[in-house]
Amino acid sequence: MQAPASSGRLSPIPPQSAHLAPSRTRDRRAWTLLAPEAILATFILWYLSGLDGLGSIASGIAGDLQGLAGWGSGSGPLPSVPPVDVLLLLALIALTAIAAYHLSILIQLTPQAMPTRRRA
Amino acid sequence: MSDSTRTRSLRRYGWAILIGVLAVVGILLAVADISAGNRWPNPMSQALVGPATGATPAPNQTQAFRFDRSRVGDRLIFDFPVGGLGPLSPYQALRAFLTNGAGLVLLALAALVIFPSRARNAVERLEARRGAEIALGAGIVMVLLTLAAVTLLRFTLLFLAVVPLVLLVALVAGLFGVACISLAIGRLLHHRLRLPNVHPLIAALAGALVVFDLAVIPYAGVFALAAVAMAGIGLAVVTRFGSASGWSFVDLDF
Repeated sequence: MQAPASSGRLSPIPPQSAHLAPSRTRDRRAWTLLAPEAILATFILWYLSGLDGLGSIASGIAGDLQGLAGWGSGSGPLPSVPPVDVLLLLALIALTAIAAYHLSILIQLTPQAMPTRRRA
Repeated sequence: MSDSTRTRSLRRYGWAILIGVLAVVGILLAVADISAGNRWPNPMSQALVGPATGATPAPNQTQAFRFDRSRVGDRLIFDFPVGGLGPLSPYQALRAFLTNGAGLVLLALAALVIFPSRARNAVERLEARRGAEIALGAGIVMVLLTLAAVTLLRFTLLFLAVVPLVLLVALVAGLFGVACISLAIGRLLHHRLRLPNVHPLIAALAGALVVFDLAVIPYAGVFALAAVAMAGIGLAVVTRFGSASGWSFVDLDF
């Protein structure tokens, strides 16, 4: 079987519109997804009483990790999980899912790697 | 000496001059950052250039003086009469350059030395059309994703121990991305200033110094560093740490 290049014919150029249309849609989607993300992030921040609440979560993680390590070594009780509203959990899961989908769109927009060129 | 000879010798030492200028600019900006920090304290800036000059250590911090026996920094503080800014401390600025600047350069060069082909793939995609804006956008989305995921994991006991791992991966991604951005900046300087060919690590060193200089701009530096770090995380994610194949679900479809 001959390679297409040796047959003296160039492979047909794909119609440009077929390539541009999905790219343009992805482009638009990459921008429009910022809106639900911003809304969810603002809602979560408001729900957690701003950056102070977010900071208390971070410090709580450190404290609970210490408690967990202490429990593992048998020197302390198991730390208790703080009670959380289902609404907040749903907002966090929605933000995680939308952000992951947004990332997948951005990855599709990223130019592909070029073949490695080595110096002779 | 003729003009062409002078130009040729200038071009020959172009990289050395550029790196020297970037280092001096970094120190001067750090001096300005420390001085402005004395007038309007900024905790993020203090993390970069150190505490305000003249700050006396707490009684339980006296052991810190073991690392600063000469205490030259206390004597090399000058008043700055213009604009009502705080005193100038070139010694502390030099110390910031030799700690944070050197650390940034060291980590960036280490990432490039350990993962050269991955760094090349990532830099090629960063230099492509709209590569920088995609990396920055992905970085912002990644920060949101990481914050949401970490907050979610915080309300579990089973996966609480995963949180430091998530943060560590984000840190490694950020460092790899910043290393690639440093190399890309070095390559940009090479082309724009028509500098002679040089080892890529020298170009990356110049790029890392540009990142440090951006980070120590008074007040704006924190935002510039955050933008570079987010673009770095985004670049590492969209290129899957510079892998040639990128992200693919083909192997799962069997």
